[in-house]
Amino acid sequence: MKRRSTSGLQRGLFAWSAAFLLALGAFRASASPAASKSPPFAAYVDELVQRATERGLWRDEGWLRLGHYRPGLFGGYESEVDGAAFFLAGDGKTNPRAELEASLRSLFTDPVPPEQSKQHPFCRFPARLLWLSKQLEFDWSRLPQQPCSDFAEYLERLEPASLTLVFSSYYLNNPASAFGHTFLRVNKRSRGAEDRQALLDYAIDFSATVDTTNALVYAAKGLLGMFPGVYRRIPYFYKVREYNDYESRDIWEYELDLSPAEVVMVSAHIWELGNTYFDYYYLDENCSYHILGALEVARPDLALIEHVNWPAIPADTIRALYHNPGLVRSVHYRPSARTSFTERLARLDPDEVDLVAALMGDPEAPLPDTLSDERRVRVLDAALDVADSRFASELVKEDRNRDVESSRVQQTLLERRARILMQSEMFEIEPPPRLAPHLGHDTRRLGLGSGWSPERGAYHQLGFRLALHDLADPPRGYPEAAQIEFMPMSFRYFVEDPRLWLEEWNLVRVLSVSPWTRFELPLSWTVRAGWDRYYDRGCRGCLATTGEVGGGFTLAAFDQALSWYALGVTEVAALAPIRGGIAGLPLRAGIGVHSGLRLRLGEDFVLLPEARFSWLPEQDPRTLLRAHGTLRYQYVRNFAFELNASLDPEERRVGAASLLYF
Amino acid sequence: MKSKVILLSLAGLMVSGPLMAQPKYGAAGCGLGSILFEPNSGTFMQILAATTNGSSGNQTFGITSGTSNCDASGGGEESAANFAATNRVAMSKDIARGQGETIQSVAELAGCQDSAAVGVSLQKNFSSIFPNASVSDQEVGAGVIRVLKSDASLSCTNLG
Repeated sequence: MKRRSTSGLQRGLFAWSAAFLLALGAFRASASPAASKSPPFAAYVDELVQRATERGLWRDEGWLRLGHYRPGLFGGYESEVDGAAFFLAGDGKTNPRAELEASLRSLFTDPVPPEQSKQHPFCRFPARLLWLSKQLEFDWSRLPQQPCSDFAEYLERLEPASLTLVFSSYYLNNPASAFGHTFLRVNKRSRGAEDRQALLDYAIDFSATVDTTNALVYAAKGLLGMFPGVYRRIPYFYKVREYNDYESRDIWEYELDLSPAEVVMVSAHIWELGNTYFDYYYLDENCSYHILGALEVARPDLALIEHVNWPAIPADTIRALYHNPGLVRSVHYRPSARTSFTERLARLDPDEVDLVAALMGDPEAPLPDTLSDERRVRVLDAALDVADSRFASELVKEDRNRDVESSRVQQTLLERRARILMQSEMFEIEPPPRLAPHLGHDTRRLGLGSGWSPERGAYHQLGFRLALHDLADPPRGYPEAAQIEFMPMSFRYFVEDPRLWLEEWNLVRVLSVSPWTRFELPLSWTVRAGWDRYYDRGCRGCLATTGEVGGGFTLAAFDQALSWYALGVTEVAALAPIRGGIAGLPLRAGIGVHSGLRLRLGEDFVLLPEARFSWLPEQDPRTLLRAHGTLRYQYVRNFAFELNASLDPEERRVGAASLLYF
Repeated sequence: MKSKVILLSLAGLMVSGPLMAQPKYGAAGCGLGSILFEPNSGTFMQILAATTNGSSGNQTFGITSGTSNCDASGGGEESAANFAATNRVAMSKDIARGQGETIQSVAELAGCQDSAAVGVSLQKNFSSIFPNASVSDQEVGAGVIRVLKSDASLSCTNLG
């Protein structure tokens, strides 16, 4: 332990100081690191301040980024940082110029004893120090220096050698993953022959600190920016266990091409940010946004935040990287527990899959004597992955609270596997290019189209959606089995009888259609709420406030290129001139079936016919049958063209539209 | 060598005093559940918090707060034991298979020379590390260390 610590320390300092030296271009080796009492530093600091002022250094992009300054609405600047201690000038939040001068003066106040060094600006703002020293070419012999043991320990543990932006993907059957998530990983240096152990790196995460368990209060405070957002540093293995194993989400790792000095700069800036907070806004100043904000200090020509739209969605951060040619050095993929077992099963012979199924029924089920050890290993390894995925919810329980039966199944399989003293082959899964998040279409959607209906004649249609993806949208970069839409709305303008109306305005529309397999029977489900039009004799083109929930199942084939879902749904509609409603009220409630067939042709085409049958007991009409079909073609990443058709009891229509994602 | 000395002295600019405060590791309370979730929050709240990236879990990990007792990424015996305990389920599978990423990570933390050999040794001793399903996470961590120490051929130099 001791020997290792010492050499680790030396290596850490060596790497760090090498980068540090690069950053401090003009730093002279002859500088005396010792600081004496009350030296004539003040005059030199004055000189530096003057030099900075003459050069207008405060306007430099590098400085503005270190302070997270954005142009204000009425001119000037305002910092996004909301913790007062981040600023050394009284008006530093809105005055980058005063903040720069105050920084220069505070960095070189008298050194303090090491145990108080954490409070000294010299140690609290190492990134500012690095940046200013490079810009102003400090003569260190004329400046006091403060030892910073806490910051040094931080660097020593981080060992920053490179940075990776990590995207944890969507899996809608775990609704918490609806939008994905991004965070930063600070990669340690590799140690000689063996591969670097990424699990031992640190993840840097930006998240809101929540102080309520009331969902309504939570939503309100989150939208209004009333939770403090802070950066956290956590060993990467916690993240892998959380996302890959517990939540069954694939992880995509984008390693960035940054110089060692740039990596140190970002690491030093994260230290600065660790002492402060940002008001956390779910829709824009969220995890995605501020991770890029921290990354941008690496160098002034990185253009990241400007490519994040409103609302900021985690996958935007990945696409923002690709606006900077060459920034992504490599992409690495970590399959989720679910992806792993699916892939393992796909590599087995059919009779081996039968054996896995038998083991899942009874972990002590005998394997045929004729089965070779190699094949036993493959069967047991697959069964272990199926069990892990099936019992994932046990992962967050404390050991003594885990479910006895699931533990027994796993223990039995593990013991049987361990008895075969043969090492499994390294299990590698190629990243599926179709799912790579950086290839996905952008978040918002604008649609412009025209159509014709025998009942109402020709019309034009304008559609807008705030986020994110539906089952017919271009499939690249998105999960195959998930639709999550916020604020989809559309307007229709009728040409012959000129008028404009709101066709639909849904707040949320979610549809999760994870297919059943031999080993998993996930629930397919849907939720919708908003305003929609009906076309039947009880509601003739009337706009009603509606809501719908439902659950069912999905079957799929050809690697999910073809899937069929059927959901039992309950639907209510009200606040509209509905006739024949419940007890004569303008209120309608029905139960029924919502079913769809989705066919993906290659990577570019999706065909999606859907039908819904509703039974409205004691109401008129008694039943409703509605159908809708879409054929959509993606011709470049953010453009698609569609043909659509609808059939309602009192309206039929066909149309075409162009879709722009932006 | 000389350049290394110079660089070290440069680093001394910001560094002084003993750097390696002995970290206090402990697997208890470092499980995934305790790190991720507020124990009393309901499912709906957990989903909401996770969707919008609100952290209702404990505040164990800050940027500047130094070493948490759940931080098993630094190297050494306690950190290797804690890593094995915290990654228990993934570790059990890798040990049964005789190879895997968690084995490589433990081998690195323990300072072992050859992680493939570590995998062979751990697999052979599976039943002593995981004698039954009710063995605690901490016992798993201790069991892994015991095996690594008892097999001198692994020469895991970080173990005390």
